[in-house]
Amino acid sequence: MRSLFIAVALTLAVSHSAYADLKKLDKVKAAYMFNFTKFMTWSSINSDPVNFCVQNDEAFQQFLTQLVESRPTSSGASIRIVMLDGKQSCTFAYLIENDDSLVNLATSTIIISDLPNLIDRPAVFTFYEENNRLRFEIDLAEAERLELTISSELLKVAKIK
Amino acid sequence: MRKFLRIASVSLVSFTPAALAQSTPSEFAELSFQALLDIDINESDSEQSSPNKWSFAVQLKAAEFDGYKVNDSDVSLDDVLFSFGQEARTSSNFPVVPTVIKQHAKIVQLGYQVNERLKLGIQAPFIHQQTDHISVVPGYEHFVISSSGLGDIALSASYALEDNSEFSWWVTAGLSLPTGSIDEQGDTPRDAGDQQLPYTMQLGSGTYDFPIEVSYQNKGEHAFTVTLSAMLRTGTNDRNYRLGNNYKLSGKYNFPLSQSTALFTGAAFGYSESIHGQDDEITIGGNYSYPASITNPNLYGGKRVNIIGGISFIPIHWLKVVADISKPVYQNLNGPQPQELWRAGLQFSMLY
Repeated sequence: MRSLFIAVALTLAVSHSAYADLKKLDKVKAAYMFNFTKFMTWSSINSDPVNFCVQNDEAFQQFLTQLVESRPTSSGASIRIVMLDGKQSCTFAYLIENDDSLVNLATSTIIISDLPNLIDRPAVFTFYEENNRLRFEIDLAEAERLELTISSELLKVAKIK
Repeated sequence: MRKFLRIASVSLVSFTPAALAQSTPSEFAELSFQALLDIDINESDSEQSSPNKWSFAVQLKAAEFDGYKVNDSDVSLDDVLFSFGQEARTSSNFPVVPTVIKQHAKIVQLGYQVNERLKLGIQAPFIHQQTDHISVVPGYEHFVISSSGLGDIALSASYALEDNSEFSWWVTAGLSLPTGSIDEQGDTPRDAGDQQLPYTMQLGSGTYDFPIEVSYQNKGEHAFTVTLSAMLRTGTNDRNYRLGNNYKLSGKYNFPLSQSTALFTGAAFGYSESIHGQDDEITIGGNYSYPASITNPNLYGGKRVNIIGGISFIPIHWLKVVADISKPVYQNLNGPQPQELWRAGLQFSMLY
């Protein structure tokens, strides 16, 4: 029993430390992303699981994983947070760098990014900062191309491109 | 008129619930879109820093009363004004009749966020009110009386019983101090020179009063707020009366238009009691001792249903502007009593 307790404690300590230094800005982004999945539907929503790929940030991936696991989504979709490594198909992809990983993504991937000008194709959701608050922009043309249905509640609080 | 101010002060002692500070993934998962939009992303505002925050708000309020009601029926000024030689004096007609009542209040409010769940506040109203009159007293056929000054200062504490991404429960309790004058004087037809003015023209209650409020806020896709509030009064003031208690149930529904702008609409049901006791200085001799309806303590209080509409706007991250207007759709008053036409408010809230 004692060894089990120590193992659990170590697991918790390690999992916590993975995102202990994560910036508040990134935590807010993760919460936004979780909300995005709740207020939209996509063509492959019933495929199980949904892969949410994160580019080059393990701490963020750990935080988003625990965030998603702490709450069920209203759509019932099972969301798996994975690192973007080119080996897995990505329903969603969060991109923080403008590199070749974008080119390798499937054309059906729903992209979320901090970068206003991605190579190859635009993001559906682009974060930006305004007056110390995090905001986001929705590219409606790209959403339409991906046949996304975005809730009016989400559209109301977004900047529309 | 004074009932309006007391009702207004009840709603003012409550604060906009601030989202509690988050740290863990599950706490961030609970945040609604509106809460996310409000989060300051500066690290200095992170969970490691002190949650203490000061807030400052200035609110401008205005209201107008015109016309009379007995229960839910309109009565004309001719019916309320007693005419010498043409009709008998009764308890429902008066030699002096207020016609239009206008009131304005500037309310300054300071708030302090003690911790994630507790907020303290103090508010001070500065009131100006003016009443037009007609009367059958020679020399006073038309006259205007006004009063202005500091009203009752209120202290309050708001506590979050629950606050998560889906809903919140806040309870507020306070103490209203008798800092507003109940000795305002003006030139009335009652006598030559200045005399004690009726209850409506006073600036305070003269008693220690207790504003309380319970508020439920739904933060889901359809955000709405339901608030139950009351102003409970105690004792008797130096002029031997106590204003009636007020109770109000209100609901508001929010429509976000953008990241910084939202519309809201709602309704409020209010009930207020008549005045207990009497200020004998504003009565006259004879069978009918009340020269105007507003000098009769029994002709106060009643029920009122208002519809409310407004807009909130955040032009910069530390400033929130809220404008609202409300209009009664039903009034059942202990009359003859002046009826409310409208009321409006404009609030500037600053957080730092």
